[in-house]
Amino acid sequence: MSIPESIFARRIVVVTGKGGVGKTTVCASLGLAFAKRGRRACLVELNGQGRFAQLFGLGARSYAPRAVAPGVETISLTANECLDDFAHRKLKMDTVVRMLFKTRAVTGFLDAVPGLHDLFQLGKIENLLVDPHDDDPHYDAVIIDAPSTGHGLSMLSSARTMADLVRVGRFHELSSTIERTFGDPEKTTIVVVTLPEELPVNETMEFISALGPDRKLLSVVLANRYHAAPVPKGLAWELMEPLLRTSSDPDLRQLHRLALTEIERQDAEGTSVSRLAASLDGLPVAVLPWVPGESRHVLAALASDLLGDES
Amino acid sequence: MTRVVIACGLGGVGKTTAAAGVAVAHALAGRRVVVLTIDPARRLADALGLSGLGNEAVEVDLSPIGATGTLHALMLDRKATFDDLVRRHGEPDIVDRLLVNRYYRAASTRLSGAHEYMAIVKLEDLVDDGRWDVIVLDTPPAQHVVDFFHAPERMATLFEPGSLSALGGGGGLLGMATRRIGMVLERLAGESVIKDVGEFFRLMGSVGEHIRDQSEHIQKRLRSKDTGFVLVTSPRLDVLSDVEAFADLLRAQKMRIEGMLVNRVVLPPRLGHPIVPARLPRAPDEIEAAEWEALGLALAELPPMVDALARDHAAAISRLSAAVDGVPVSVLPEIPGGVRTLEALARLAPFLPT
Ligand SMILES: Nc1ncnc2c1ncn2[C@@H]1O[C@H](COP(=O)(O)OP(=O)(O)OP(=O)(O)O)[C@@H](O)[C@H]1O
Ligand SMILES: Nc1ncnc2c1ncn2[C@@H]1O[C@H](COP(=O)(O)OP(=O)(O)OP(=O)(O)O)[C@@H](O)[C@H]1O
Ligand SMILES: [Mg+2]
Ligand SMILES: [Mg+2]
Repeated sequence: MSIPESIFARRIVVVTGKGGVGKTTVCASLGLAFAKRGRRACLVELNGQGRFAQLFGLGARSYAPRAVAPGVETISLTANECLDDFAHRKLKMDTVVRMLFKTRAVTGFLDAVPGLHDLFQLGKIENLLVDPHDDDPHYDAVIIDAPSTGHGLSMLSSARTMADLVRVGRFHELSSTIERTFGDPEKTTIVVVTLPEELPVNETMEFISALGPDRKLLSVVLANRYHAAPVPKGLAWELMEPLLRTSSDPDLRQLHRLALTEIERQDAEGTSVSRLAASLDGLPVAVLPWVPGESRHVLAALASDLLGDES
Repeated sequence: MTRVVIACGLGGVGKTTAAAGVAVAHALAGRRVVVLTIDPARRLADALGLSGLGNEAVEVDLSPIGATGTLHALMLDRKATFDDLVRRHGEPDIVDRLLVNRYYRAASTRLSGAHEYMAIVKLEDLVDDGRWDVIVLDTPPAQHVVDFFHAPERMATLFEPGSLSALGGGGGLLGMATRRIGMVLERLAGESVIKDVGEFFRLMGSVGEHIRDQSEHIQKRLRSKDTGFVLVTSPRLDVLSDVEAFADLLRAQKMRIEGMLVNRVVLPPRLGHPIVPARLPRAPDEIEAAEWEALGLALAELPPMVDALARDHAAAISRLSAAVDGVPVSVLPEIPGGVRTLEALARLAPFLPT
């Protein structure tokens, strides 16, 4: 299944979704797919989770970019590093003043205003693309592994809440800049990852209906870990099914149970995907196959799939 | 003494399902149980009779499963719990004044750790209520399992005296350094938000005090011998470091872990002999040989595929079990179609730690 071609023209791809659905894997595969299209991509991780480092066997996380594949790099951001970078580059604050950011009063304030952490990290990303320093690497696109908030709040709405709360000052300017770049469908797109199961699909539908103005940024919903049909359906199975069920060979009866479970799951997955597609009036839904094996293998397979390669 | 069981784990692993299952299992064993769920799936909420209900415990009709105990269930409403906390521990008119504070409206329930903290507040209410033998607590989705344990401390830190309530107060009592910091923050965020934040923390004064005072109490609760944790996880190796961190934390803090529940495990196909197409029934007349053969090949591939997956899961389970050395490990199989009725929850009982 291939994804809308327009995604490859965007500079920012925000990959979001619930915990454990495959966001990190999809991000990494998208990065590989971008590179295959000749677009240099950077996989950006927020809140210093270290997941890309883990996935690519790089050891500890790092704020400095590192290559993970030809044409693909990764950086791992934390709010503190981004704030320090911002204070240094944009506010031209010297080391002494920046030390103030490490005092309790300031860290307390930064922690107490939810959204500030997102703001700094988005600011860094914006900077990397729009206004890179000479020594910054050049990327055609950044692919963001957005944290799963668990309550459907997107990072972008977080920046918006900030803009709303903070109406003047440098943070306000920052959030307005971010809003301009991240809110522009020519530059930014959101990819939602979900699973072809009832609960994740419901939550995805709720998430999308709560997106409000950001809905225009959505380009595709990916139903990940979609299982292929276990047995070719049709007359042959219809004839085989009762023979297995009533067989005197216990192994064949067990095979019957296995096959039925797989078929039922596949049917349920199909129903979930149709239900999702029907709720999204026109927004594309694509399925990504369930790939057995190690995670590195999974992402290579998904990268080919995203590009619509036949394999 | 009330027993408390807390289900924790990464996002989407099955915490809410496990919490409901453990609660039902205790009710089946004849105990009076309450389960506090967090954002349950619609079907599970329906199964527990929670549709549309909020922050108060409602009794679940257990007659379909013939349990001898009782079960109540509720859904955490963070905002209501926060407002409640403020009403109980704040100055008399504080709610009204907070309600017009922009910061309170936009930010209070999103404070880092607030979700987990509110779950614990509600837990304490349930303990005080005294009606139950067992309280089962579900937890919010976490990026790291240990997040739950740091939440109360993160909340308490926010309300440490001085720092934030001094913001935007403008008084001449502020020291040089604080004034300097105030100026920097003002340049960054503007005067009004600093004022709002400062006012919020000043208004929250006695609530903040309460939150700080509670810290120790909460730590005691979490470490009590009557509290046990159930770690829910998927059978995957990429969660190993997280599980290790969790086990280390519990050991260091002397907290009791009831068990690790590995959820959605695929079991081996249990066949006497491999399936080869020759073992399958002969093609009936009405079907073309080629079609029958194709089906036979697909069927023969099925058991090895399930077996490979089951082996991966078994390998992950043994590494995960080693990480929590000595903790009882329960394995919950993948339930086709998910867990969405009271009966289905009751069927999980034998797999769950009680
Ligand atoms: N299409 C797939 N087929 C098989 N396994 C997959 C597929 N996609 C992801 N996985 C596996 O699922 C697990 C979770 O994936 P991943 O870590 O990418 O999810 P996530 O959404 O980033 O999780 P978290 O919310 O914890 O960050 C990993 O073990 C990954 O290898
Ligand atoms: N053993 C199982 N077999 C099949 N499906 C399961 C099993 N356990 C849980 N599920 C399904 O997985 C989904 C997620 O479960 P659940 O809501 O309990 O996870 P959670 O950890 O509470 O998620 P969150 O972190 O989002 O709160 C639900 O649809 C549930 O029905
Ligand atoms: Mg991830
Ligand atoms: Mg849950």
